[in-house]
Amino acid sequence: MQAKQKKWFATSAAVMLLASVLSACGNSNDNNKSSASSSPDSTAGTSKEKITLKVEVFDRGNAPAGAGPVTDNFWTQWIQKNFGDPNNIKMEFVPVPRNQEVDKLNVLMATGDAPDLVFTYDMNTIYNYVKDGGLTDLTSLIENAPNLKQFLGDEVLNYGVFEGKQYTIPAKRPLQYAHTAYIRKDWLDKLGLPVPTTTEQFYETLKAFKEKDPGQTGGKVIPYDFSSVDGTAITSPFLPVSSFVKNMSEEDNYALSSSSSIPEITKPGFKDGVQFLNKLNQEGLINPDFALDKDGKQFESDVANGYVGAFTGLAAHANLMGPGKVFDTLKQNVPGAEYISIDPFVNEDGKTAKGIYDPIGIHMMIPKTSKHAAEAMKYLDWMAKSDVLFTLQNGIEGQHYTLENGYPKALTTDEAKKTFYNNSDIAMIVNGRDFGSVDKDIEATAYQFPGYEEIAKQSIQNALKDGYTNPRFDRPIESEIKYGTTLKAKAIEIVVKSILAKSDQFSQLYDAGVAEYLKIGGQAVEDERRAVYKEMKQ
Amino acid sequence: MTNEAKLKRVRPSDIVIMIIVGAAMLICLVPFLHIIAVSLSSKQEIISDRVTIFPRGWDWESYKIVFSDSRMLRSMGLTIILTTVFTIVSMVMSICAAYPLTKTQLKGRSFFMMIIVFTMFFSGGLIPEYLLVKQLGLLDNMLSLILPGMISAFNLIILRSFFTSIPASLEESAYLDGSSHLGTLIRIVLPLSLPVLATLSLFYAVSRWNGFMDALFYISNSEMYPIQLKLYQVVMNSMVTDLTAQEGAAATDVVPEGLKAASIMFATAPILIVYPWLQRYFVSGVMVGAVKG
Amino acid sequence: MDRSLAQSKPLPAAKRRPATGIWKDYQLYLLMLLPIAYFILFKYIPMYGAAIAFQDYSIFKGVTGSEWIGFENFQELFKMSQFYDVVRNTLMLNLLDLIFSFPAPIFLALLLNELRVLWFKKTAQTLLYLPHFISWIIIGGLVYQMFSNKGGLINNVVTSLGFDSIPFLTEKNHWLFVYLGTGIWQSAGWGTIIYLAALTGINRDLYEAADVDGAGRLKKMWHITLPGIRPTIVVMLIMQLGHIMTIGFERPFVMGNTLVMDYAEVISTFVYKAGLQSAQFSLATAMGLFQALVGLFFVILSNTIAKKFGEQGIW
Repeated sequence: MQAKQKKWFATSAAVMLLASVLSACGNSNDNNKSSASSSPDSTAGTSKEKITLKVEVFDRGNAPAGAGPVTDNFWTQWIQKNFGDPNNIKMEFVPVPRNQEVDKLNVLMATGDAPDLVFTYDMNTIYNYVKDGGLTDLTSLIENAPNLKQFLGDEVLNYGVFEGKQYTIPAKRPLQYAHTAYIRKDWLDKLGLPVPTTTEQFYETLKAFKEKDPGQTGGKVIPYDFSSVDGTAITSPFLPVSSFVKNMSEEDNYALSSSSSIPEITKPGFKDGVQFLNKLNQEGLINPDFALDKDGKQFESDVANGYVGAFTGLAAHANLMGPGKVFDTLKQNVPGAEYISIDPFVNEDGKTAKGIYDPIGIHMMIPKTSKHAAEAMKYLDWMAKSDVLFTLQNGIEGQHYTLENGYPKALTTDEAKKTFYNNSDIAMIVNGRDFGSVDKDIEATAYQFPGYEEIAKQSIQNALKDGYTNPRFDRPIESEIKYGTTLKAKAIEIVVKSILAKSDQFSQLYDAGVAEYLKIGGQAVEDERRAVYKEMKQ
Repeated sequence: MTNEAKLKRVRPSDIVIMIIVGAAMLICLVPFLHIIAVSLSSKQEIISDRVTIFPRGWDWESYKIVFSDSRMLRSMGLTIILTTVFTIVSMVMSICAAYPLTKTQLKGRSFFMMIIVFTMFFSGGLIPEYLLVKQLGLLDNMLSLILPGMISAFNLIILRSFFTSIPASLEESAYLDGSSHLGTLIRIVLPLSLPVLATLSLFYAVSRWNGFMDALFYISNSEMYPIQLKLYQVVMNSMVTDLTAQEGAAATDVVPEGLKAASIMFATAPILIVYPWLQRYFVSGVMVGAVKG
Repeated sequence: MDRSLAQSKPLPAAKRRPATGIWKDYQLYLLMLLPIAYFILFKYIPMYGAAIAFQDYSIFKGVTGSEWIGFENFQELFKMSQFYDVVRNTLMLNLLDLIFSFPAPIFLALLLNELRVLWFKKTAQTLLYLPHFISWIIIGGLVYQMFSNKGGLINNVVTSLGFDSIPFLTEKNHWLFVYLGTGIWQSAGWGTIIYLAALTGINRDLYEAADVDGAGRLKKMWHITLPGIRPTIVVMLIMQLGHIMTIGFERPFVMGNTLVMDYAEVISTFVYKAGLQSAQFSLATAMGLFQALVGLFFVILSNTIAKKFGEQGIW
């Protein structure tokens, strides 16, 4: 009994010891952080107390070895040196995991201990914050940030205005390109076909791909490929569909458009576009399992194996043109295979109308609970200075990039990546390269894809041509927030089922689907949009 | 035929059973082999979807990421310590709770059981739990990964159920000899409960080793991330089709499929090592002949 | 294991405990102290969050500052057109799991128990629980490779034999089959562990006695083995019934696709897609409360029934 008791105590003592070691690990870090942020820094040389500015930063878990975490790396130190020190501000970066960013942000906001500068992509969250009065009104503060104001411009800033007040600072997106069409140049050459310039020609080309099988795939050819249609994959079959959409009045356009990648099934002509896809399916010109390929992996593998004749997807995308990715793999599997970007889907006006992204990126906000709103603005204003922004985006010349024709080309050595891995997250006021003009921006972006500069450039140019953005309202549409997700799911279901339906059942299926869609909230959204539009126009 | 011989003879039904079980084993093994193969295959082969059961284009990249990165190794070590401490603490607490609850003379026994079962269904939700952890000063502290999840009501109920199946006569004779409750627990009940103790230790250990959602919210210091969280980050990072996907050079190098597969290997390896060791506690006939009648 | 432990040395007289009543059992209460403290601190204190279901919750005002709106959240929830569909689907999928997936580990454990070749038995145990560690995201990919219409392994075989490809994943009833099957594959092996542990508690003498009576394998299973692990089965069954209204997120989300949404849209995926978790806490909490109440009801019901049959039950 004694021996067993002894053993018991010994074990529990050991456990306590281990537990305290573990908590000490945590505590020491915790103490370091808190002492650093709360007590005045006596070695700063000034007697004034330093203000701590807490800025949110995405943590993607991709810091290379030896690079330091996102809270303390080469760039946080550079920012401290070039912005923090001269302004007597201590920068503190609060990491938020990219995948749980909304949840984590909500949790931080709920504790009343949120960073001074936060951001998110999720519009619903932003509406929530605006509605609940959780954000600082920046309308007057932005006047003290001339660099920022000039850099972003009124159009971009407008996207952050709710009920007449500036609640968020949207990042600028210099290039708004989204989707383009890609086609196998080598197959066209082999069959002696010209590059298609109309939808009809495109269709004929697809048929030729199927019948003549220039890639000698033994029946595995997929003339036109896309994966699931819910807007998360890099492909989208809606590029050809938009060319079927007919002209409509401005009011109708406002009423029938959607703002969250919901297929616009009520727009005149949209049905014809989906019917076109249905025809393609009937003739075996698409991948009948597309609805199952939710993450696009099957699509990527089909392209890499050389089975796909044409596809419509995001222009200049890293998954396709990045090193070791799909196009590289294709080159290895099928020597001589080559894609080019084309723009054949012409609508009734002779234009290749297509949806493009709004000129904004992420929304930056300052919580109402922040006591350092002015300093946060100062930080953004400093970042908007062209030399600062250039350095933050590209790094130090020689260490992180070399100049090629005046454009920075990133150095991809491990050494370079050690001190340059999350700069797109740090330079948060801009989404992409900004060199002052669209052409220059395209050039600069193309340089990011060594070996594919030409197609990257071409794809972006095509993706921008005749692009239109979604009409914007000056206040959020309540019913859309309420029904948005249901409507999206329903619309996608209608599109998918219609594409796969037998051709004689298509019309009935589609129309019944639309009726259902209107019933579960589609009509309410349309009506509200119309009403708000009319209000806006007065 | 003697009983001995009867036992040794292989009956047709034995064969049938072995075939069924063998088929089940195969169905479970083959997909796993595929995953191992993917974790060792090159990017091209993975993208082209050519990997079946054997690796193609041998590529240790995914494992290199895991093993040569000292932060990963440190995280692994941390997670091992964390899991061990957590399992011990959880088991001790669970035993402390389960044993008294088997005693009918415990006042309020039903009441205690009910409030425990109640927690299996009702919880406050993410924000109140986060606020509590924050108020206890446990943010960025390993204890936040141990204390809040210390007792699983499910495991507790199972443990209690097993304790009650120990014949009362065994405990009675111990009491008659003057043993206290604690003594009976340690000298009689626990040794006879080794199978369930081993099982629940396994459950606690596996849930802690593979769980990372709580660390995601409670720990901001990336040097303290449990290994599964680190791997989850790296894998998920490349799956988000960000609107900022214009930064070509910042794209990840290793195809996430290979890394995903390596992560699974990581999740399973410790269990593959630990379980055979635990199997020896699943000894049958522990209670045979203890006390008859 | 030395079974003579029960007859240990008697303690010296001085250590014999005195008194009666509660103090005799003070050790029991002492043992319970920390665990109860744990439940109060970490489970009950945060429970005020359930109030969110009755409020128009704002994360800035917190629970103390948000406005109380009674049952409005529930009314809104019940008014949603998808509510009944997702509840029905959740129940249906869980019920099917109960019928097919619940017995699988028991059956497997019984088989494993019959194995005589020790190395085979040990290897089987180790291999069978491997699928438990494969996350559903990966399983989704594997399922696609096996079951897709064009190019899926199984359909390749089917079509080469001259038949039409089977719409495993694109037709909702076939999809159910795949959903359940993969569920069994993933969980059966791991589920055997608890039953194997329970099997060790069965008195070997009973088997020997049955042999003497000339009982065959199946008779022994039915009259000795199954009753031997019955308490465990009952406990597991009650707990599973308690989760009849809850369903994980990953499995239906990964396995589902647009074409089978009639069956695949469940409470967890609905809550996720509607962004309830991130933007409409009140509704999400109300839904959670609804699920919890239903679960509790079923637990109480099944526990009472079990006790009527002489089983031990959960409390």
